[in-house]
Amino acid sequence: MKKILSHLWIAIVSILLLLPLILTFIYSFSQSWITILPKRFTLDFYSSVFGDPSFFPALFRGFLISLIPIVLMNAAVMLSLYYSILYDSRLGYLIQVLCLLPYSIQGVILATSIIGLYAGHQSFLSNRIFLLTMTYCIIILPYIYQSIRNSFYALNLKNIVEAGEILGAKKFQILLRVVLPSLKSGLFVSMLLSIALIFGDFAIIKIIAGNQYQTAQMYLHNTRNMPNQIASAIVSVMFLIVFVISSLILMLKNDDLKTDRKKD
Amino acid sequence: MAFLELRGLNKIYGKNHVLQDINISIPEGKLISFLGPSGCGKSTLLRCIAGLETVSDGKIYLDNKDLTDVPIQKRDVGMVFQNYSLFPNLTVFDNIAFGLKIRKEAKEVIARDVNEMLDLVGLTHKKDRFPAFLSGGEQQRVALARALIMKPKVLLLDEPLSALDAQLRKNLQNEIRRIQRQLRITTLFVTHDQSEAMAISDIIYLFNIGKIESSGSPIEIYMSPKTEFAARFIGNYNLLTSEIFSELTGCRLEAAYLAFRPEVVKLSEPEFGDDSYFFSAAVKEVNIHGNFIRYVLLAGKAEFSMDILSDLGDPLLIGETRQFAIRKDCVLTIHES
Amino acid sequence: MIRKFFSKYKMIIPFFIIVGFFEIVPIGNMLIQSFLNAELRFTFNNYVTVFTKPVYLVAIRNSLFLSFISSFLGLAIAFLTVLSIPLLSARLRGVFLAMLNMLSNFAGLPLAFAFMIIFGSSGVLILLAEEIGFESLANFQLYSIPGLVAVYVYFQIPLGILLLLPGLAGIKKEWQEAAYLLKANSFQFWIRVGIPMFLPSLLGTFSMLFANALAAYATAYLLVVTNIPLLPIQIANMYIGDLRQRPELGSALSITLLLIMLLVIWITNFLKKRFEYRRV
Repeated sequence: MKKILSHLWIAIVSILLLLPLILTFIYSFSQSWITILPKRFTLDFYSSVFGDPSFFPALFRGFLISLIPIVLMNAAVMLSLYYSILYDSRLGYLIQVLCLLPYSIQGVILATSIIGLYAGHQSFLSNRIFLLTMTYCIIILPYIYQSIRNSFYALNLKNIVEAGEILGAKKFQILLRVVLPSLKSGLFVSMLLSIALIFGDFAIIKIIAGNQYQTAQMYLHNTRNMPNQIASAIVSVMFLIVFVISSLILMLKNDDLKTDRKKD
Repeated sequence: MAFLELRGLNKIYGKNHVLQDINISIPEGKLISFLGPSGCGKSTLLRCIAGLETVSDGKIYLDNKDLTDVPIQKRDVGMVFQNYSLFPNLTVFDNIAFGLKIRKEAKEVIARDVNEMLDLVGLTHKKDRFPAFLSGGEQQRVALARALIMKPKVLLLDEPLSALDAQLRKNLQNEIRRIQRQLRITTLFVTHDQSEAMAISDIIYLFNIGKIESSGSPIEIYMSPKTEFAARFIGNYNLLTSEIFSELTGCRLEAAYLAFRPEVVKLSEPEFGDDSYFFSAAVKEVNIHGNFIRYVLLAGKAEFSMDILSDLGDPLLIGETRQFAIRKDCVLTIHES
Repeated sequence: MIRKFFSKYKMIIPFFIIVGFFEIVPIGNMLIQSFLNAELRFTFNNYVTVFTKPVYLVAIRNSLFLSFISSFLGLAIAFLTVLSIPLLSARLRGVFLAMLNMLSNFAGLPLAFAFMIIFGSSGVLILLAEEIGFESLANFQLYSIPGLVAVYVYFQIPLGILLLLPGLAGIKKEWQEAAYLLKANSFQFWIRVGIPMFLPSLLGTFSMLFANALAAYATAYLLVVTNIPLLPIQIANMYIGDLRQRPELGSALSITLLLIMLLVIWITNFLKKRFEYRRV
């Protein structure tokens, strides 16, 4: 009885959650849909989206803009955490607060605070694309921090460094040769998470760059006055991309779990 | 029919035959141990009796009632788990009172019974503590009281002491035995520790991969193992095939194995007569265990251990060859392999 | 001296430069600006405006209402779902969790567009409902508070489930078994042990969902024009768009939003502490 009820409940929740996604997907293939079944399936809307010379560059820009924040923040957080664990644990607490703060600040407040401070400047600081990049640096901070901290804990960093030093290696060599290689899968997950986050952002880009830097999100935003099927097609493509990224993340995490279990 | 009767119990998980045709009759008021290495099915059997697992085949009778398909709540069995599993959000008092509250007993009855139980397990002074603030031993006592207050017909203890350190374990063994005798409650005790089973039980059932290997009183199980597994698992028996044994002693006996405990091997003395086997062997290893010394002896293909009390003269040296003796009636023949 | 300082702290300098310039200073500046007028003199006027002018008051009220209702409903549905998950077979569970993981990424602008396409005034399902005479669906108003609640609840559910799942792992199977052996049924177990033990996790998830809804921008931006003011939209409008830009007032609104968020986090943490028993 309990088993039947819970299966029923899960089924209802699943259907309700999948409905908007599936309908959007079907709609993107239909000429029109005002009766029970959509009238005549077509690929016209996809061909017009893919045929637009500005679509693929817009998709590409979403990834491009995440490149610098990911590289920069991984390096900055890793170095500072490495330092704090080895030399100064109180500093570690400060780093933690600063890294987790963006969770509660969220996009709108962070973006408006940055624009409010730097937009009026007559220097490179007011360059919108530069500001956008730096805002993304801050917004991905919690994810990067958590992944690196978890990996450091799992490694038992302090012991590893001590062991390495006894064998005659310098601290920086240990970081490069021992710590970094063992961070690989953790770094990869946090990188994908950051890409998904930046690819899915609308608030920050709308507030900071507007149409000066057209990503997929802005491209979608600009189709508001076109036929709904165009938007459906873009939504479907964007969802597919995010779906691939999130499946990769899930796969990597599961792999990690499996290897962890094997270690036990 | 016995008080608790298990007939032809089988439990199959996928391809694993976890319990194979278990038949047990248990008299009322006794403490019975299920002893065996981990993964032998003894805990699964306990969970089947509790109703936490369904049986694939067979019947369970308790006090002349067929329990096989009765829901957990109506079985009148109490259970104590290895990791205590106290409710962390309830105090010691409320943990013990839980079952009575579910049964909607009057407040005064609950207070009276719980206080009685607290007294029995000696935790009256900690009744308002939360489980997180108790030691492992105290938690296990609360778990015991929580099960006992329901006056179950059978008390099931699933490795209740294995998470505790050695000294505490001894104390709680005695305490469980005292409470069990005082309440005359039929108790099934699952353990993988043979000395614990010896110390506490009226009857021991020895399990091996889903089957009962042998059963009997602790003394019977210890003194006369019936199978190779029983001899190896209990009492550190030395096991020699009859071929190797005849090379060692010159006597051929009809058996698959010959078994003798380390303490029956002696240094040979002139007054030993016809009732002993004699042989010479070299000392291969010496391990000091405190009150006794365990030697590993080597003679041809035969390798076996010998325990000698520490106060009996100077210890032997590694490499030394001496004459040894075993009394003939201390060698058991084992026919199954 | 300076060189020594740099060589000692060279590993942490990059981090603190970035965080300093783009997190600490901007937020600090925002806090200061919220107390300044256009002539850069100290004033409380911005906050007075926030808490007296109807449009901002309504925005705060709408945002609070929307966040609270959607978090509550989302949490309730997520809770029931999480309780059902252990009863699924391992295979179904894997499929369901993979689906949730996928859906948790279906948020923001694409989600708002999907709802617009399907439930908007000329949305697929709405037209369909009109066609077949399904009145209650045909009358669904996406561009209204109830419409927004529906969209918000939609994105809260997968998130809520994923956040609650680790908490469920903390409810040990043995507690349930022990309760059954003491003659409790599963309802009695949840009332007396399960939910009290689950409460910290429920509260934590609630505050995450609340913050998520309170700051949601894309959905609100696309689905609400001007008839329903919401806090994040009002804030952003102070910096972009056709209206006269008023960063001081925007700062005061931002700080208000931040304070609401911190208040909710603080309250839930306070309650959490009351219900946390050190686990064994």
